[in-house]
Amino acid sequence: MKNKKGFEFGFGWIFAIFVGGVIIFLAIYAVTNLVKTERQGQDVASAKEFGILLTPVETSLETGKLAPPIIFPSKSRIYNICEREGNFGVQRLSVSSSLGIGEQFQQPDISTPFYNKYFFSPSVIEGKTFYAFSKPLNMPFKVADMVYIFGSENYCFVSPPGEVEDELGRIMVNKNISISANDCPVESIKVCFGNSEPKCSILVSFDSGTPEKGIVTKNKQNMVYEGYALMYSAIFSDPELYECQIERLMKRASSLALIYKQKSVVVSARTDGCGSALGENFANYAQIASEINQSKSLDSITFNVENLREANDALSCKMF
Amino acid sequence: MRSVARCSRGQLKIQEMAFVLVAMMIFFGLVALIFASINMNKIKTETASLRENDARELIRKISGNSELGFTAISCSNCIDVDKALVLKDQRAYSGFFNLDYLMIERVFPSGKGECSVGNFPNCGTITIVNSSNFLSAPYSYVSLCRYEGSRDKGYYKCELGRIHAAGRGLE
Repeated sequence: MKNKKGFEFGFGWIFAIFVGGVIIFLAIYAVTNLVKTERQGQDVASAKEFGILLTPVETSLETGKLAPPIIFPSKSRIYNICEREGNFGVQRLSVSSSLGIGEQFQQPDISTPFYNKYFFSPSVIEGKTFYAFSKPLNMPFKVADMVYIFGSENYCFVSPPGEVEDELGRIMVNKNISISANDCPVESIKVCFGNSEPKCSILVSFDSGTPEKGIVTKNKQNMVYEGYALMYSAIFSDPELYECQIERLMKRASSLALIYKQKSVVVSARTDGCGSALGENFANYAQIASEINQSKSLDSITFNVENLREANDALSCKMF
Repeated sequence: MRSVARCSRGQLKIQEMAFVLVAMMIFFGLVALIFASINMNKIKTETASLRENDARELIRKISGNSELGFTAISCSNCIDVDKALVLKDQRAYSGFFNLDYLMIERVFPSGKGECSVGNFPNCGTITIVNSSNFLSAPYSYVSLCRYEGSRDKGYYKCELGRIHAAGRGLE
């Protein structure tokens, strides 16, 4: 005799399967969201911490400084964004760390803003260990510290000027930067100075003989520089980021000039007129600097920079 | 009579399940609340620690800051008092330092009251940023320098001071 009744699938079973399914779905959804939020929070904290770790690299009396390598627990991406809006623009950093499962790097939604920092790097850098070094930008007073960041990519400088070679040799030993006349490691980013060689990723052309002025050509775009601090900036960053940072730097230089102008009034009142003559120079400088929004216009302030430097050197009460 | 009894047993089962479901939802809700509060505490602690680290690093390097550093002579850890006095009235700089509090205190010779261009040096503090309540403001000793004397015969005078800063958290 066969049992023709079969398996009894009552209401209790259907209800349990339905509710169980809903609970499992909700649990998976909650865990996925939790992991995503936790990861995002960790990445935001990492970006803030990364910025804090780069504060000691800023210079006081030095002409250049190297930060200890910054090592992330896992392979990470650093997104470097520059925005021109506001009194001084803003630098935004966000970090995306690799989890090893699912999507390797999640697109960061939240970034950490820095109003008084200038980081130069490609818009996205990837790696586990990051290196940074800095140089002050003096025009003629110190405007800010330029911080150059790079990750796992290798830079090879071909025939750089003596000063650049000395400086890089001194501070960047074994830090993914090599100096070579012609033997660059394979897959390195080749930075050529003076004349264009085959397979140059970045070309630095000097203006009228002096290496302190010129043009850096990267991704078929020209970036004008004045001084080695800006030359490194152009080499290590994307052209869009460089142009944006130039505008931010000039806004800050303009504000600083106004502070120095007011300082000259304060000092002059206390010291029978010492420094009063510089007030107008600072005002002119501030006006011109505030109008510069791209590297091509840097030339327009050169005269005022020299003028201010000479006037300040002649003073007994130096303003800067 | 039999069908009525069956029906009430079924209803009882549904009621039991409903109660179990409600109990489970309350249980999961409580677990989620406890987890969220632990997580919030963790984030708060982390934020406070980041704020403090930020402020400590900043005051350690404040003399290198273009707006405050004294650059007329080669001087390590020196603040330009004249620039600080001018800076405190600059509205463009609000939010620039990413700090909730930034104050320079004259330690020796000491003074009382807030400094301005008009009353300096007969005063005690220069408050540059004071935007909200903060828990602690670490400080660091610095030299407060300025040019003194006449137009041709002058000298750079430095006094002992302290710089206090409290960092702002994540946005």
